[in-house]
Amino acid sequence: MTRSSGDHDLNVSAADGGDDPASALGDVWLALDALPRSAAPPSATASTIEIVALSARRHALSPSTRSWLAAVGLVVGAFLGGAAIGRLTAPGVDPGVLEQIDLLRERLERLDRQPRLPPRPFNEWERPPRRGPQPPREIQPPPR
Amino acid sequence: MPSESTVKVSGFDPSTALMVRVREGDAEAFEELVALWQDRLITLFLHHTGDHSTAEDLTQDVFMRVYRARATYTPSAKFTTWIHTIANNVASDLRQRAYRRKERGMPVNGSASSSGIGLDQIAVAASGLLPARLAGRTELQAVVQQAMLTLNDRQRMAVLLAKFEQCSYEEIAAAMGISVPAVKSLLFRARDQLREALTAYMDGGTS
Repeated sequence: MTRSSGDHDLNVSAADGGDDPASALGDVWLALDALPRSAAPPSATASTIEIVALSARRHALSPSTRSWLAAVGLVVGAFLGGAAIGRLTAPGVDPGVLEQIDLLRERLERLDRQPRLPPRPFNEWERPPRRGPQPPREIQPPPR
Repeated sequence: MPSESTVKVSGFDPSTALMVRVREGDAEAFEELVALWQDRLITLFLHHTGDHSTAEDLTQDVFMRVYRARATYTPSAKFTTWIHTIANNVASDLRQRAYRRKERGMPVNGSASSSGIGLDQIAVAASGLLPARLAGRTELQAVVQQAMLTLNDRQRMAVLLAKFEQCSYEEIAAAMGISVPAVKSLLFRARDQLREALTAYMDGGTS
């Protein structure tokens, strides 16, 4: 709390101030009796209650609502932040990659253009040669 | 309006007992508290600001703060001191707002600090009443009100807490957040200034 320097400049002893504020103010104390005491209009209490209730409704979110809103805010914030960071830090398109994509597309198209074999039943497929124990080779006599 | 004697007291003073109920969510207790304190606060702020509608607004502000801070209230703190502290804070906020508006060159409304009434003007007003010496209570009231407005905000608050709330030095010190010697200093200076402002009237009245 701020204090005006003038309030402390004066060294006031208990004797100066008196035992209580009334004696401190001396003859002025009685003059202050002339100040009227104010009375609030009859509707003032209801009006005050209404304003306080309105203010409380406006300001007071329940703690659970507040934490729920905080969580939603955090998620949305994280999402937006991530999107922004991703946008800023993502590398540009590499032309080499594009070239490779073109090459791949070209090969696929070539494959598409090749005539397709007619479908064959499963049992007509050639069996691949079996790999097993080979018959012993004939040993040829060395050339003379 | 319920009187203090009709309010149930359970070991606390009536206002403290009501505030404990308010803290527990008793809306009726809050209404009783408002009824109990409203006139006192309006009187305090009326003589502090010199304007009745500002006084009513500040009183509502005090009750709003009381309601918002209800959860933090502890019965160990005397309710009277607590609400006086809030009232002093509300008055301080008004003073700071007025100061900021003044700095920005905007018109300041409602605050006594901006009344710009000097001691010479008070003396003229008082002496103007002297010849008649029949000045009634209304005139005396006007002179004392004008004299009060010559005090600075802190002196005025200290005087009002002493006169209207019958606060001791310690209670004023607690409400205003200053030391007891500082309160004595404030009242000492206020007395001199009021005496000076009312000299013409007081001399005239006693001669």
